[in-house]
Amino acid sequence: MSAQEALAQQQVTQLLADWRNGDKQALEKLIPLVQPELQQLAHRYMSRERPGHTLQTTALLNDAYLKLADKTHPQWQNRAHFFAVAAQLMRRIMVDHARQRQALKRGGGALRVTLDDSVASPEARSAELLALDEAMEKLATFDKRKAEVVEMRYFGGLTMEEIAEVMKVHVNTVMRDWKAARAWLFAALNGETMDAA
Amino acid sequence: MQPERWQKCAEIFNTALEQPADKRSAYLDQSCAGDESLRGQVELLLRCHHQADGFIESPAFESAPDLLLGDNDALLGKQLGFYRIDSILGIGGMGVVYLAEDERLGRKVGLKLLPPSLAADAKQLEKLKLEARTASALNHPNIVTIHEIGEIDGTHYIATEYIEGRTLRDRMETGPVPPNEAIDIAQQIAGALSVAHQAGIVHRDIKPENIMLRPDGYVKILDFGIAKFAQPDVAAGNQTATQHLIIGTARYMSPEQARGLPVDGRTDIWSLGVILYEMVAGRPPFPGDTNTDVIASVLRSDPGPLERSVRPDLRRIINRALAKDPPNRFQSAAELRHQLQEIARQPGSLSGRSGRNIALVALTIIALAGTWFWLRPNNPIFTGRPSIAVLPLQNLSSDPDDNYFAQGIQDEILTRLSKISAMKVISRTSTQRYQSSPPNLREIGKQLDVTNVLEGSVQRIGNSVKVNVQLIRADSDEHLWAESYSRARNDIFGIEGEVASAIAQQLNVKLTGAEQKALVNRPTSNAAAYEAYLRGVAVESTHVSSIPALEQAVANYTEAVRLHPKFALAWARLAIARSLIYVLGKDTAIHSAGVKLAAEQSMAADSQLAESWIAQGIYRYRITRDFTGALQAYEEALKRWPNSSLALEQIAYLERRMGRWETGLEHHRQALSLDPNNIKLAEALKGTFLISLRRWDEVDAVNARISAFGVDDDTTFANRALEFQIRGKLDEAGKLLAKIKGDSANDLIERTRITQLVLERRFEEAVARAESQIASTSPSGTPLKEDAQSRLTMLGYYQEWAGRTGEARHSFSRAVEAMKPSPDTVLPVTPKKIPCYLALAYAGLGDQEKAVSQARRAVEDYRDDAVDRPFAEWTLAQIQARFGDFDAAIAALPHLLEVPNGVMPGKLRFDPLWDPLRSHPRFEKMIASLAPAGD
Repeated sequence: MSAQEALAQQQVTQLLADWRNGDKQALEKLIPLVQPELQQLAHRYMSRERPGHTLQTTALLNDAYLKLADKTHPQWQNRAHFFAVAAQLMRRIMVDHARQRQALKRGGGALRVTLDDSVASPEARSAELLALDEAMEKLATFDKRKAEVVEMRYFGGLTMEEIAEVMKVHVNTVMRDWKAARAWLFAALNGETMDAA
Repeated sequence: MQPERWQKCAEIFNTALEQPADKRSAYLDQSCAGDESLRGQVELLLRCHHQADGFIESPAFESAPDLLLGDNDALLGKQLGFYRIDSILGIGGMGVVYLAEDERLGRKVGLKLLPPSLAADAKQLEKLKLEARTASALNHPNIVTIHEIGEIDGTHYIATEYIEGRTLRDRMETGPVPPNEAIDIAQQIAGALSVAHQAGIVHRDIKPENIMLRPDGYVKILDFGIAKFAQPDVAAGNQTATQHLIIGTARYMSPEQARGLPVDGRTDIWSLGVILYEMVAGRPPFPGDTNTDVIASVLRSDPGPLERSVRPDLRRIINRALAKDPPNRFQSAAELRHQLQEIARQPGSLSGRSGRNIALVALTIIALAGTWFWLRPNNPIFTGRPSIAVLPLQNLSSDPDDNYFAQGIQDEILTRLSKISAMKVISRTSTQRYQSSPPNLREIGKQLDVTNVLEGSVQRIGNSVKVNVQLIRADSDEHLWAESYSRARNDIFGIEGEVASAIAQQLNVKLTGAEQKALVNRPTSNAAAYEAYLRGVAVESTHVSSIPALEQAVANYTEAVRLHPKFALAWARLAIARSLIYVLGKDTAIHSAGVKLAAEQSMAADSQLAESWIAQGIYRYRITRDFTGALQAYEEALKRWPNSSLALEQIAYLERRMGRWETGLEHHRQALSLDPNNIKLAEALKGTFLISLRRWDEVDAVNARISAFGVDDDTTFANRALEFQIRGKLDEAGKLLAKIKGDSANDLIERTRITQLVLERRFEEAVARAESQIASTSPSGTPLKEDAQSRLTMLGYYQEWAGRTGEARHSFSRAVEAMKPSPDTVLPVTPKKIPCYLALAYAGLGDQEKAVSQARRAVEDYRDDAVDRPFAEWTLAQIQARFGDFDAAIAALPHLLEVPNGVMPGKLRFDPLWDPLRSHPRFEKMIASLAPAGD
């Protein structure tokens, strides 16, 4: 290994550690390293005729992970790191796109949660996504773990079992976190805030 | 909300959910214990839980995949301020560029939306605006003008001059850019860079996607002053993710940029160098599957060598632009531009890629200079055909493990071509010594005596394989044909056949129906089996005939046939590889059985395959010693594979065994003309034909040729010393042996040293060396190996001549004991000539009757073997001489001194085994009549 490679590896390892310790800047620096694989993954996903189910997505993610882990980044010590970064990255990408689209909305209609994806217009969906993102930010201020569970599940497409592996907690705990977080987010998006209570 | 309170709330919520519905209320009463606010919160959660069925249940990218990739179309027809978005122009470094109409001014503009993450950083945004305006203010014809940078509803945008045309990327994807066009494009870019750099603006993202080509020939650079702001954050932008673009972001990055060091204008010079390379080569200089691979390559690897067809002055410019250290690059874009303009003025030898000059190709034969001429075969068919050498293909994949892939594909192309009878195709062993894309094609053409050369590269990117090949006329560097093939990795079988067919067509070679079929024959349809096979081929092509390499190849081929049991070619190569290990003497029982099985399987799977017949020939020749059958098999192979130097060589050996020395010699020369750099083959021509035929002048010529290769090593010295010994030049043999380092020893060196001692009659030293040689191969207490059996016999003689008669007797007895056939065994006739040594051992013991009868039997045993029969015959003569039958011994000599591979002058003169005849007048006369060998 060259000195540069060793240095690069150290940097990535350090970035991962920093990120896990809550350094948001570290993610910014990590993103360029994982971005190509994730974009490719998204593309493959998009090109499927029928929107795939979670299992396929996880398999694709896993491919991307193996690619990075085996070939380029032996320092990705486990899938946990990678999946978590992937979920964050996907969230960032989607939220950015949604925000951009909102810039084009005319008239500024009121937000309303649509439960049926099939009838939602692209504008409505981007509005929902932005609202959800905002609500998740809020949730994270008092329950970081539950917000992360949602992030991994909703943006990363991970299964409950995988999330449990990532967070090193029992799958039942993940399930309970998920239910509580989802209920809270649903309430928040429908304007029913619990804070006043 | 307070974290503690929320935790409590969530805890109660979850537990409540786990209660049966009718018990829930009671549970809440109990757990909230009168805290109505808490209870209200939990109840809200429960209510929402029941309503939220399906909410965020499926992942976001499933329900809104367009948001993951950015649904660019969603903007079409929409209005952004005064701009009406009409269509997508393209995708640049910062995202999608739209064609929009500025409704105020009624003009078309390019409209680019800045990524929100960039727009959010006010400081960065200010810097961007400043630089973009500065660049735009340069008013350079090759820099796109920026009309406006603005913001509407929080979306920041840049409106630029609208350029009609296409990007350089699009242009490059339609095919190679002719050199003069490439030079023109590059010098326009360099002109713009020069002006911008002087104004203190570095582009930092020069790449084909950022270069627009206008139909009128103007080149326009996009994103000046903007691109660099996008770089740290492309991930957040709405860059549509094609693999191309992703790699593009790293592919044009300079080493200093990749390291995150400060950059100046020289980084743009690097990027332009990459573009120029890619335009003329049709492939990137620093390939890789991922950005990280590409960056590693940018930092560490040299760009792959450019094709011969690229004019040298252009190659020099590219290389200088791609110097890793900025101080070694062009120091200014102006300088680069100047040089490009210079070479644009000189027509140079710009490559013509047309195939029209092919009529000129072919029948020219380059006269070979010097001593090699006589090695050319006499058959005119052999010298008048279009000729080609397939040089090693360059592995452009980032993974060095992929070397086997490039080697395997080269071997397959070569093998297929070599099955065309109307072509002369140089064998692999002779092309392997050249690097891929070598600089001295003319020289190589002369060395190999070929008119045409094929060179190229293989690149594996993920699951696809790209093969670039070009056919070049060696004496003029003329580019005859080039092609690029892309395939999925599991569908590469066809490429080699297509390349071979195309070359045959380009060289106007007529194919028979069977040849046409063999050319495109797919050896297997199993991709994994084929990969295992290619690995085996690559191992064999890089390590010639070492036992570990052969064992590795055997393992690869075995894996290939395990995966595809009807894979005839893999079976055949398995048989050949095993036979080589067998000949080298390792695990002979296993490999002889293995050769048989593999040869049978190969033939059963495809009896029309040349290699099946080679395998069959090898089996018959090496294992069953069925020379007639083996010759038939090899002739069948040669019919299907006219350029097989292996088949020709083997046929030569068989004809020699059958006493057809002259036709054998001719076939061997044909083999060598197909494989002129194969030193082993040249050595074999000398050792198996020229020396046996006592053609000393030609022996000297081959020696000179081998010396010219500069591979004189201890083995070469020993071989040549052996030659001088049998020619009777003991002094010269001694000088050569003295060149060998004292501690250097292999079987040949040791054997030659001992022979020298014996011929010089230094018997004590010979005894000591022979004893330790035997001890090293067959330690005391272990059964004597065949080699040791013959050596022990000879040791007995050395001991006898040294006056140690007791020890001599002991050696002879041991040797007889080891060699003597039991009633139910037959003496192995070859390769160690045991029947002859047994006779000699009996003679050593003084048992005349057994010695003579065994010697006669040996002559009978070798009756059909023209190579070894003379040895049996002179052994009989020596035994007769030992027991006083001088007349019989001397009567045999005139014939033995004539017959190929018979008694050699040096041996007759100096070998102590002939001593009993030495005082005999007729023998003395014979010695005197021997012409000094080779003087």
